[in-house]
Amino acid sequence: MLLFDLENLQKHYGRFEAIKGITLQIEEGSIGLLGPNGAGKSTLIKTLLGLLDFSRGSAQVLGYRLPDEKLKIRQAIGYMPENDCYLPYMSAIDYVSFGGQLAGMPRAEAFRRAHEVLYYVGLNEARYRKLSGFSTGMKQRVKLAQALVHGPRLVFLDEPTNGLDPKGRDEMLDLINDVKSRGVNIVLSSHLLADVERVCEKVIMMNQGEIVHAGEIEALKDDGKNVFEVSTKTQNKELKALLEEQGLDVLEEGLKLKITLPSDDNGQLILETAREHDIQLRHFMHAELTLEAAFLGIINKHSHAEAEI
Amino acid sequence: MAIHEQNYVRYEGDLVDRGAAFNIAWTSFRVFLSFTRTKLLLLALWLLPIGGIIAVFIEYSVRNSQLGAMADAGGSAPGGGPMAVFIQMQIFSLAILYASSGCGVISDDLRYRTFQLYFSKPLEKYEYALGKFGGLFFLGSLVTLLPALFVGGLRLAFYARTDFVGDLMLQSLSGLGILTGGTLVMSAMLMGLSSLTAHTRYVVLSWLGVIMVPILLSIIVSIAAEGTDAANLWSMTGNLWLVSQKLLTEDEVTVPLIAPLGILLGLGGAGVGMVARRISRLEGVA
Repeated sequence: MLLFDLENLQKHYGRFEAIKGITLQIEEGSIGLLGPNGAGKSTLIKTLLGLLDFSRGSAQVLGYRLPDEKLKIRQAIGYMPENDCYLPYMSAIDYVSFGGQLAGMPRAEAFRRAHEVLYYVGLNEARYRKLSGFSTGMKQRVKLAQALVHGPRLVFLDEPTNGLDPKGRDEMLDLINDVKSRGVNIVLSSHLLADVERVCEKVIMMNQGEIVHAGEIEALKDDGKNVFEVSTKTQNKELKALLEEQGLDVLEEGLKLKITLPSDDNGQLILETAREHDIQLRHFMHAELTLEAAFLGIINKHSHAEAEI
Repeated sequence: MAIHEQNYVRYEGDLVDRGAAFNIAWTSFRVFLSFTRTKLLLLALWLLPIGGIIAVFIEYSVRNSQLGAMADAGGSAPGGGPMAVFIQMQIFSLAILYASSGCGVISDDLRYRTFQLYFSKPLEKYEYALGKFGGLFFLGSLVTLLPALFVGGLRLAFYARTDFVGDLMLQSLSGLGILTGGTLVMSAMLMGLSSLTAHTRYVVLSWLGVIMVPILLSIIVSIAAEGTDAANLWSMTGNLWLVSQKLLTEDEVTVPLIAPLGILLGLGGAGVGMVARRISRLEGVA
């Protein structure tokens, strides 16, 4: 079963193209949705939820066709928005149970399930408390509970670890992983690449309304690239410019440079360049390509290509 | 370990496509009732209907001995004047209750971005509007329809054994109809105002303005025009007064019934229009 089957999906706001003809088939599983601000992630999520009408193309979610079957899609999915979306004077149990009823559950069943799901997310003790008194972590959990209460096949999670301390973040990711392990498909939109890496097997990267990469995270990190991590005494920028002149991909990560070399090069090119220009290296080692580095590399490459056009 | 030991089990039961509007209405109603101010105000506002009910008892005790004689002598049924006054009192109670508890009906959803919850569920926009309207109507009914049913029912019961029962049935039903119409119109107006802003306090102010300013205008016009009935057309409560006078009493009212009815329908329509406009612009609320 395909989670998404998109064919030349476009969304315009006047002359602005928020989504520029996306074609994509994604199988079931857990998917990270990545992209810089304004990349079109939120627009894509809204379009897939049937909240936005697309301008051109066709889209299917879980086999249901948009926009005709948008209500069926919303019944089959759960959505955890990034920001707060609750009346603070409601109790957690009422909120979650109401979410279940809106999804189409009978009232008594929704109430019973709300207890179960709140227990599952660790809010059993707080279920009768007003939401206004909840901490950020509890609010995130209650939002997750309302997304899960009706047993969705797919859950959209928009920045689920936003505002959480490291312990809360760890717990939330544990929870999401547990949900995933029980056969629920996950789409995780996050700025924190480490979160995506921990939860998802696949990733969709967006930039300027286009999909710049879609596929397995592991394949992305290990696609035959030969990456070296280098730092100099004071000449990082100079070395970067010299290596880029030779057609190499160079990423600046803090005080280090991540340089992608041809697969048969064992770093000789970097060493020779540094020696020729009298640049003193302080750090030189073979590095694993992180998701972050891969992401930045792809986004940079795409942005440069767009600029050239 | 963060995850509770209880396993997550997916819900595999039936999901139905209907009843979303009623669920929203019922939940909204329960939320309104959960406010302490609503409970206290309802207690205070119910003093008026209780007074009405006591008045029915007094009327009965005074007339009880005369009832048979009145009916035998072909006397006329009690007039609808008290019912008209009762309707006015309850409409004012409704305005106060709405000012206290109902103004956030949509503005709170705008403020707290609850639309994201609603529209990520299988819900049409009209179902949301209908549900919110229903919740407000249920709340309003507590000070309009419910007391009217009590008072009207009691009056009917007391005159049940006389020939007046038919006339009183008509009075009670007319009163109920006017209060239903009034509650519908006022609910639509409040929904409209509430959909204009995310600040509930502004809704409260505008609601009080919508009720009070026309009453003042109506008084000014009435003074200037030496108490003409047409002065009542300036205010919503005045229009309801004109309708109740026309339908419940035999007093001569110089304004045709269609005028206040048209104005009330127009006000309700304006409220519905404002809500429709807001909701049609809710594209992509997530």
